[in-house]
Amino acid sequence: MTASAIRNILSKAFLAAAGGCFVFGAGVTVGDVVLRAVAGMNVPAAIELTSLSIGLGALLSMPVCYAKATHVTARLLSELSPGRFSRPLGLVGSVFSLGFAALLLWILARNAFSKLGSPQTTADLGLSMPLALSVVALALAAALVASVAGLFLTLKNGREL
Amino acid sequence: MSGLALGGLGFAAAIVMIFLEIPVAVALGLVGLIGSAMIIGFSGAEAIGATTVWDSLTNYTLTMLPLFVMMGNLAARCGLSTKLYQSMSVLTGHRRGGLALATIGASAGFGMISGSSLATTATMGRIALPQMREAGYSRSLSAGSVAAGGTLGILIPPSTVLVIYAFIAEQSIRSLLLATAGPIFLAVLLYCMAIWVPIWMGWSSAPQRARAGLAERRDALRELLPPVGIFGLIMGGLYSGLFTANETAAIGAAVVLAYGLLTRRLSGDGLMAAVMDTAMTCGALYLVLIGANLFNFFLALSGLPFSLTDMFSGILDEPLLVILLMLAIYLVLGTLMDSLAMLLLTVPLFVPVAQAAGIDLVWFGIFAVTVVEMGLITPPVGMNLFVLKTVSPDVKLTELWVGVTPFVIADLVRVAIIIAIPAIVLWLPLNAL
Repeated sequence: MTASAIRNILSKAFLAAAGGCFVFGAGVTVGDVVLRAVAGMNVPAAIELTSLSIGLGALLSMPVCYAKATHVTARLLSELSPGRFSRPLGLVGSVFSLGFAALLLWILARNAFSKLGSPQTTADLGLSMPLALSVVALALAAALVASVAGLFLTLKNGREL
Repeated sequence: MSGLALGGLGFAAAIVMIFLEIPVAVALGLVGLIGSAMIIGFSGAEAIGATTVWDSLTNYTLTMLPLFVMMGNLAARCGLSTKLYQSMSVLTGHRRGGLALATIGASAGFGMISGSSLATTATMGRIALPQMREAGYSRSLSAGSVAAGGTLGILIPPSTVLVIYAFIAEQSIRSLLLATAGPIFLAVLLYCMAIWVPIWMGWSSAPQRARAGLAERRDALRELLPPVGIFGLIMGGLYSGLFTANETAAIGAAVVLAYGLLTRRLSGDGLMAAVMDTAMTCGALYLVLIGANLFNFFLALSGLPFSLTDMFSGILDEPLLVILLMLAIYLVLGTLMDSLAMLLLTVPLFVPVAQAAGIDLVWFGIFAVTVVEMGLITPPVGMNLFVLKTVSPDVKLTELWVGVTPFVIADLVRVAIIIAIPAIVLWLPLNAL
């Protein structure tokens, strides 16, 4: 299997998992509204369930954003003169993205490590906070790997990946 | 170095980095983290970073962002945006300037879905420009209506930019979404005038096409029902207080999904693609929110917003002057960057000033989004103009400038009206159930 095929499969897997989280979050909210209208009840911990599932979805989609360089970027110079600016500015963007991904991972990993063994839990669902923070750190580690791949691809192909 | 000097330096660094096409999230996040570390030390900045990432990811208000984006993507996969343009061309094409009107309407619809003026301009440029040219429309009118139409969608619910403003400025998203109704109505009316007046004066040519048959018009009207119904559901749900803004987003997505599946316009592959497009967009949006939060925290630590409020203290009792100054800054920034980048940079600085001047922050949100979008089409260097020039290289820049001028005038009139009559913005949120 080629590197490109593996990258494609990984991207799709991350995006599908992220999308699944969003669909689950939407389902919980709609279920809560329907249950409230029909039976005057609520889905237990609906707000936290929605927040966490959608937050997880956002987190899982970040590595793909780094790898494919789909960040929100104000492209003026490369629109004006694509030949001159697109590649060098794409490289600058990728290098800074890598730095940001590394900084976020460092911060969140240290934070997760400092909370290991803590009995702290989330308010409604009672999920372990050290576990939740470890998941965040792991996803950001994937984002760092993806940003390295993003830089490599920009070096190889320019900005259009 | 004092906190204030660091704040100013950080702000300038963020502008330069964004101008150099470093992703907005990365520019704001790096400046925020490094700037905070220089003020309160690395361990303090680390604590802020960890809290900010967790809070941004688990904020309940922000859950509506992916849900609105998913609703838009599902609508696009059901073909609603393409149908919107086709239906509006059938219904208005026989009138003078009808295709330009259809372009404005469809751009607004597509803008709702894409959430980006630049993407809307690029897409509609490819769809609508060839059709208008084929129909004999003057190049300036065709290009002007595409560039201007791209700016409308950002204001129309579900507006991701307004959701982000609400989050940063800590305002009610329900009030902000309801506040868009008056300005949208005004914008449509004034854009119609911007199309018709040059035609009446003989400055633009816009030949009429043959009127479509009754059956075709009936079909076109039927095609308009779903997007209008979805818009009605959002505004109706919010106005009646039946749903919260988050619930409206989830129900909107569910309704579009049900519509797509029941009418068989949404295949399994289409559904999967819509969900994955949503994930792709939201990864970028959440990174922007994390970056913006880090940047906000740094600015607050530096004391820059408070100093700016002090600097404005001489004119704080004249809100009109404050507003005009901000308008000028937004128009200048519009020549350099995208609307989201502009808002993320300026809202933390301008909101305290607006608050101190006694300006309602819901009104200010609508004002800021409106003028930020106006900056994108203001000659000589609005960004939408360059995007359109890239999509259609044979259109001269002078033709673009001529084409967008009536729309810029329409925008200026709209801004003047909402400044003169703030009730146009605030009446609905203040009187909602």
